[in-house]
Amino acid sequence: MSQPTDNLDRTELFINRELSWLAFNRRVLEQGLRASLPPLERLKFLAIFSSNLDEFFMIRVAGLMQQAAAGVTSKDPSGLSPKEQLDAVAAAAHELVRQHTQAVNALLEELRTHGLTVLKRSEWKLEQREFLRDFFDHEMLPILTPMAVQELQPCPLLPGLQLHVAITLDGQEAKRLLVIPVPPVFIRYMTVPSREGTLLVAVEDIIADNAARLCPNSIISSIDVFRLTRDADVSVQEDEAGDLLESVEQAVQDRRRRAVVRAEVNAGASETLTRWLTATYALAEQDIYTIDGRLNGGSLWEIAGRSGYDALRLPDWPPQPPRDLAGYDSLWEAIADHDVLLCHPYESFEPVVRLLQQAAQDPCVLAVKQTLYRTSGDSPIIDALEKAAENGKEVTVLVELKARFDEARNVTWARRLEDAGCHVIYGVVGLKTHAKALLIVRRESGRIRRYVHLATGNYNDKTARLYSDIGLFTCDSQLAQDVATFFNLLTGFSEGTAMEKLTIAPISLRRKVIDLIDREIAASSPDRPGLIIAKTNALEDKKICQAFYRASQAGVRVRLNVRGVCCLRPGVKGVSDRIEVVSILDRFLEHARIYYFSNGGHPEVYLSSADLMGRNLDKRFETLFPIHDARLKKRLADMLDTYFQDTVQSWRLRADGTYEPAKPAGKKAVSAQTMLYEQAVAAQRKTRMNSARFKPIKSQKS
Amino acid sequence: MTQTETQETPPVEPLAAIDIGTNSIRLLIGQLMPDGGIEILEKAHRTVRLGQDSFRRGRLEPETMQAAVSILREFKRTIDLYKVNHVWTVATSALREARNADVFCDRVLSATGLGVDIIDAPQEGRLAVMAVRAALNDKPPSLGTHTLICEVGGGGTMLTALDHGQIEAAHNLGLGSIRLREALGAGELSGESANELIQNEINATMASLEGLISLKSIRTFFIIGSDARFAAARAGKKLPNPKFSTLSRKAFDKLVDAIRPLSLEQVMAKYGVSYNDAETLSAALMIYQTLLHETSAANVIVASVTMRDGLLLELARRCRHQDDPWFGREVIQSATAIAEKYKVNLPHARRVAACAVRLFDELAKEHRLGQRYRTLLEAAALLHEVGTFVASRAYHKHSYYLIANSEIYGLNHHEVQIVAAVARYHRHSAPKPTHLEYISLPQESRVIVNKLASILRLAKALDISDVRKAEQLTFKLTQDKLTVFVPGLADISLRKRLLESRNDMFEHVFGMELDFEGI
Repeated sequence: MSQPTDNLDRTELFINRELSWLAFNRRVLEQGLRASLPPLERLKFLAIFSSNLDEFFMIRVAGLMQQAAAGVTSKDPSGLSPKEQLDAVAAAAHELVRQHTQAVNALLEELRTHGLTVLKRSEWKLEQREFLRDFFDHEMLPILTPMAVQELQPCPLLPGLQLHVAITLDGQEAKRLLVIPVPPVFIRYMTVPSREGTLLVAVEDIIADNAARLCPNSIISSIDVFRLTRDADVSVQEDEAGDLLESVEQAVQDRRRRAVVRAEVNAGASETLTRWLTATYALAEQDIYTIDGRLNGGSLWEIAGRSGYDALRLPDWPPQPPRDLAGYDSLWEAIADHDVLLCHPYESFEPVVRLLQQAAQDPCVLAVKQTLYRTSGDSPIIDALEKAAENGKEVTVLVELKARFDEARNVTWARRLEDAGCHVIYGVVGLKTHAKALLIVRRESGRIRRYVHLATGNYNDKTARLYSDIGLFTCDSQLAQDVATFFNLLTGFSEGTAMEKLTIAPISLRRKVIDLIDREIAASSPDRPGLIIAKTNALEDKKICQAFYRASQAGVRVRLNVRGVCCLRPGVKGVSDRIEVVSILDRFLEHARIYYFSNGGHPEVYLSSADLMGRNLDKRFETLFPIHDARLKKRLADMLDTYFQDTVQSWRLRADGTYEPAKPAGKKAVSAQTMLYEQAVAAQRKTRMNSARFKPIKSQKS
Repeated sequence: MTQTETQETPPVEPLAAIDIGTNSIRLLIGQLMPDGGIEILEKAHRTVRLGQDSFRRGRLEPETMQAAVSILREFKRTIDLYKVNHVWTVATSALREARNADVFCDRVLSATGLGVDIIDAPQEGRLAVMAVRAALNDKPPSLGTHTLICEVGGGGTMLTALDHGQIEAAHNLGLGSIRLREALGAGELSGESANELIQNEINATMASLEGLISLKSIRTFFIIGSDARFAAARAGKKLPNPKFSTLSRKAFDKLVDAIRPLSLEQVMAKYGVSYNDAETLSAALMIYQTLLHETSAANVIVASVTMRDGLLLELARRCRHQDDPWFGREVIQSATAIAEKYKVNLPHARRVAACAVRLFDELAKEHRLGQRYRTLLEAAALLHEVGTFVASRAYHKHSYYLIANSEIYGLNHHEVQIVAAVARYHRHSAPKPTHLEYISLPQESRVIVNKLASILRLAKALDISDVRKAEQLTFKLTQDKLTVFVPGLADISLRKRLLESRNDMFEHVFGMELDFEGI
């Protein structure tokens, strides 16, 4: 219940979501400018910046444009109409893109000094030119489709996100335009033979170099490159921009399907091209981005990920064996003994895979149930599930196909599972399964025991090395029953939703979080003020923001660790004085969701698969689960504290919506992720020291 | 069969209970741990509107049956996954009132192998009480004096009155949340009007409790069921015992008043409940409220247990060959009440009963019947002379009729038939193929009746004038002879009677000679 004294709906209390996201991407850009990072690490961030921005335009900006086209004028919680948001976004984005291009250009220059060179066309030597001509003739020419776009009615559909080479030709009356889509089958930066160092050539340059041969008998006035960004597919829109689309009529949506939301062109592109783009795709001036460098920064990943050049990267941090499994030969035994916490990527994800592999072969295992969202295609997890089904276990897999843009890949392995005998559920109508849960039913010495794994991150052994996530293994009977109920709900086996420990979105997760905040308020007193520490990837839900405001007003200290979008405004007098927000961007993508409540001296810690975003809490299956083991609670509480001690990779949100980078200020520069990794290494060292003693196997008689 | 005294830990047993109710079919799978506790493994429920069919048309429609069978198939698959050997499938009011219940049960049996047990309302109540008792585990709140346990189901409201933890009376009120809505066509009315109609019906039905259960004297009021749990979640205070919550009268009234004017859709929106839950909510809460106000209880206690928990407990007992310590007492209490009703010479009946059970115990290895049958015998002994209420000539036949048509709390219909038959055969003719009441029993039951009736005859013949003397009886049992050492055998008439009984049923049934000697 909101306090009657203060109006917590005021627009000045909320930061616009899209602008907050751009501020996040700015922090990504800043990582790309951080001189203390090796060059290829910086390049990674610059690549991520671009691909992030691509998605942002395809989904969020597209959604805003749909609203504007539909004549929607309603304002977001921060008081901006769709048009106002589009304008603000454009202003910020243009500036960011300008800075990004500069950064990329500078970094590519720097890489030259390390023997990694992306050649400009003007730098091609004869032998390279000949090599590339040969390549063009044999590999490229046969599959190029140059189009005289002005003459084709209707205009052919040029795919989004793909590079296109545009040749402007002099004509009798007016200039003519020839557009050549760059086939995506080619990698962006091709290696050319060199005597020393690596020489790379951009694929569009190869086409440009051979342009004359594509249009003989014509005078080429300009060769340019452009890239279109289109409105994303409906199913993705439904999930990621559903909040925007709610108010847009279906008819409008259909008309605008795949509409172009952004066009990028190189600086100095011909007027013919820009005029044609503007006219054909009904673009406003602010929708056209002029890049004074290479387009599609996302493809810089190809360079950043090149093998070799390890000197230009940070040293690898191999995941350590999890400390909770120290001393145990058998995973089953360890989990039955005590709850096991896995903190990735500091600790290895391998035990999760291993447990599944063992379950597949273990004759005592009766059933395996798992949710799979964004798993890797060649995943050992899928292999294990296949094997389990082949070995006669009852395997139920909930596959989320709407995982962004991996749809095609997802379908093949889902079929594989089905063929092996798994009971595959392709999601639930209207809801995206974002929860990460695993249930194994095993018969041991006559009794049934259930092993549960709940996590904040996906069952993806690859991302488990790049994202920071937390997983819990437990045999707790009540939690196992709740997880069983959860799977029964997803498979349609049961309609019952009564759960005691597990909380599920879309049923009651938001309510539970708000109840926990309210409880903290009630338990808070001047002598012992309450404390809430919440780590999440995004905080956007209005009701939860308001609950945090109420907590601050009631004297509760609220420490928020929000990596990305944060619509809550800290430091507003009388509203959020006691709220601080930090964001950590470091080598691993912060992904875990942890919630801590001091609860009047009986602290409670929860992990969750959910970010605090309105639509996620209403349109996705998510989990929120408590950690009961006191030892693990302490470990998580300490971890939360560690993030606030970061003085290098953290940013603090100001009341005006901008972020201030942390300053070491006399203290030693401390990075939270480094501390956490060092802790994992130290724990492993200690284990090795302890296991130098022999452990006798005693008789079972008690 | 009593549990053999061994030092081995009993194995863990998976158990499953299925409840085919008015609105849904519910599954509960648990495992019985060595310490006797039951760990719940799976809980599931699916909506199937059997009650709607039964209450509206008196029969189950093909589509509904089909849906139910397919759900049961799925449940059975999961039961098989856990390799459960002990499954109990029960059905309640929806099947009790369906003319074609048999057809449905047959279909279920052939499709899934599950045998459906259509239980009566008192049995439902008993299982619920069992579940509440187990949840209380001797901790507060206690089943103290003047306690009422109530569950509003789709088809009826089960009321069980207890005193000092023991069941005193049970009644099934014909007020069910689904039945009410169906009967009153409430589906077509607005929230306010529908609920008004329902309240009127509730008030009218309350009168039928007169003389059966004294609500005014009730001081502790337990309610169970999903609607009860809803009230606890919305307005209840949790008690130290995690499965229990309490609501004051005021809190309960406030909740009901808030729901009364709402339509189903409004209830769904306001409380975030599904359509199924919303359907039963207002009617059920109004019934609880009306009852609460009739009692002297200051508040209502909600127990988060279900009849299914009771089913598992009962299954667990059977697994471990244990007997319900309360069962015997409740049956005897009920039988005694009936005996009193028919003005039986209770002291005499009790003496015969005491003797009968002593004989039963002594002959345990011979008859090999479980403890439950001891109770049936005791009940039969208490009731064997009720027929004298009608006439003294051939009173044993009147006894049969009266007992067979009575409700003995704790016994199912079949067991009541056995008690009636045992009482019938305590004198005169032994069972004959022409006796319909005997021949209509399954063979297994006929064997039981033979054994119990023989014992009852002997007990009656011994007709000791003093109950204490029954305890003085001693026995010597060899392979083919039972010698009873009777005090006061000097009495001529006693000796004559006893000698006559020798050629009676006993020797035929037990295949052993009977002899008497004085003490």
